Amino acid sequence: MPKIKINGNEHEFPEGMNVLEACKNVGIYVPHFCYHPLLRTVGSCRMCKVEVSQNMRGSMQSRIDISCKVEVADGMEIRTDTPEVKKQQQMTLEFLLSNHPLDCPVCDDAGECELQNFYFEFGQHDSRMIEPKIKNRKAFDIGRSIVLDNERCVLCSRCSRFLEEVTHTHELGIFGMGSAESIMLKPGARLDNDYAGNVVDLCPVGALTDKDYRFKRRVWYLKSTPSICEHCARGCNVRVDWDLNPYHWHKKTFQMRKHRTEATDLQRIQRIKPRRNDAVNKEWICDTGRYGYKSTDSADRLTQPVINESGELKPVEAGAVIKAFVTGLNSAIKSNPGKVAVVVSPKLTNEEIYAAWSLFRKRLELPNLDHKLPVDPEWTGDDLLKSADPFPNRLGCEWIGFVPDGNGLGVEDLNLAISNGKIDTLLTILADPREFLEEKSLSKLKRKFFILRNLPEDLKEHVDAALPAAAWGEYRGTFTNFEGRIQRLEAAFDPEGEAQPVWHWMIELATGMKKSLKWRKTEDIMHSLSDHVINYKNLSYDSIGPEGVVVGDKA
Amino acid sequence: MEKRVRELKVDYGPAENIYWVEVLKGLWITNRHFMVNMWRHILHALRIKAEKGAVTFQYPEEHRPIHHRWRGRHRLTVKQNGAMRCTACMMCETICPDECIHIVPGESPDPNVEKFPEEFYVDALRCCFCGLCAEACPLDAIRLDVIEPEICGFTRDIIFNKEFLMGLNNDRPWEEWYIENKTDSKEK
Repeated sequence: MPKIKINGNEHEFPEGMNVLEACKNVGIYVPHFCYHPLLRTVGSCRMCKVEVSQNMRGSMQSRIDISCKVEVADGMEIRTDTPEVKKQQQMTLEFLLSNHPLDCPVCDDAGECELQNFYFEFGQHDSRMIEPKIKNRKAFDIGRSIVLDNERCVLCSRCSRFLEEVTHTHELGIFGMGSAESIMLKPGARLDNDYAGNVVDLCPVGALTDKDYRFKRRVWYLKSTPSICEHCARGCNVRVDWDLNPYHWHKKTFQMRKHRTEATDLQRIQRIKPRRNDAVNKEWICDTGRYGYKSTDSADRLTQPVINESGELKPVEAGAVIKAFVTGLNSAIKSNPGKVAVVVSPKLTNEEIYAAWSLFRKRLELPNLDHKLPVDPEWTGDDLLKSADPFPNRLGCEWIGFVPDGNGLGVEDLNLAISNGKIDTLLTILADPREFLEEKSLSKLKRKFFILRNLPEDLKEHVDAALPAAAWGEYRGTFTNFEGRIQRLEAAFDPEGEAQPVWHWMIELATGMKKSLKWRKTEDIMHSLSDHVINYKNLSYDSIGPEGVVVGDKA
Repeated sequence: MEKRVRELKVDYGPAENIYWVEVLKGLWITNRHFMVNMWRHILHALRIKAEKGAVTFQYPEEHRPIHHRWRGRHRLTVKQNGAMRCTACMMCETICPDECIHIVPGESPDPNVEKFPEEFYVDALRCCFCGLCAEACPLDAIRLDVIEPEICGFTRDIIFNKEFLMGLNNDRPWEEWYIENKTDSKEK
């Protein structure tokens, strides 16, 4: 392993590592635009210059070189703090800024722009441009979700390298020479692939911006919470960027009757960004996950417990709905426990499934529990990230055992069983019953109870009583992805209205049915889960690191 | 209960006892001011003398001169072609210590302008009139120079919206007004 000196201190690095990574590992940040650890190194921005001294033909010779292209070699000496290096970096930055439009007030990237940050850290020069700046194309629509601004581009080619090396779709390329050089779509192409949103994260400046996030909120208002995507079995690591202020202001101006339009965005989640996890999703997420957060604050969100009173849904207190659930379930169980079917969606966290399992299987001993919802036929997986299974926690359901026992009925048998009259009570958690039941069997059911996040208008006629469940971003827990990796997700903000996480409703329901579940928070459920389910043995929130833990037979 | 009031006995000397001399002096000053001001008012009313008699301002009819650094109600300035100057960069919303500004940015109707505030609210009940928003603005789009002493005189409904801050009709959307009054800046 080569030993090199960085700013006078000797360190050891593995063979083949470049100097930029080596400096980063010892805590010295070298500014760079084009270098990205997961992409090919091109060395086009010239920002990462350092002073390299090497033994050449018997004497130490030093030169200024770009650190991303220099590999560590024994006896090398690196300096990042000499005046010459600083001057070189400043000059590079001055060149990059010479035609930059400086429209930071309207740029969505302002606040997390590397050009801005480096100017404050390494530049601080006055502009010497006398010539007019070169004008170029602005706000150019290049795809379903991406806007290109050629004036702001620093030609780092990260986006085109991503589209060449990761997605292999080759939509963007660099055309022209000299000052006319610019990034553009290849003839006939449009940036419409499933991973197009990643070029926005890769862009170090505001050249590629997101249409969904366009002008929505300045980045310095956002608060970030680490989470796990719930749109497929991969379990990509994401960051929820949220801000409650527009939401509160909307309510306020609404109350004051001063609002004119409904233009104010009620979304509390402003955007989704990927987190680096080399074992799961590297640093990429698909567009389904990136723009799939909108159901959290959509118009059909159920925020209050509702009960059906003579054909009409009325918002009531949670206690009344729990009471309706309890009397309905109790009377069905008293006649025959086989008459009740409980269907949960594999979108639930491990803790919620375990709470539901403890109540319905362990305490009430119901045979007909299932989670195997049919997969949406429009959903297709791919070989990069998207899994063929659109549910984040199917493996967790199987491991915990939320499946029909011996002679119990699964989801696919329900239609027949209902038409035969074998089942007359249905409780679904987070699942739309029309996904697996026909209309006539749904209307044949005697009692239909739901725990739902969203209540669409056309489902309302089928609801007897419904409890509002916390949506993604409002609860914490763990998901088990398709390879048995357990990862944590955190709650970004409190649930909307009277909504509660499913495990909370399970505890309330258990209390109503005089079957006590003595948990207060998700940690307690995790503790109990690790005691009772073999695959989760010795697991706690503290032992699940930022990369997650692989458990089970796949570990 | 314990007696807590202590009585102090002060002996007034002869100098304090003949206080009526000072009373007469005071009355003399009051009278002099009254007579002088009355004559000045009369002369001012007859337009013989230019300056006013006293420093009192007869408020609703007569306003005090306002200092050029006065910070009053907010105003959104407009460009020569009548469009808003504001580009919704959120600097004012960021710096506002009372969080009284709320901007909803959007795509501008003008193709030469990228971003503009679709809605601009100022909650004057929260505002402390510190003027930091005007200072932070890179485009001189917000000013606190409307001379309006009674901001919330007869109503408590004082979340100002964009049209009000631009001095337009409150019920009429700014976009409508802009399209009607639009003059191309190149023609001017």
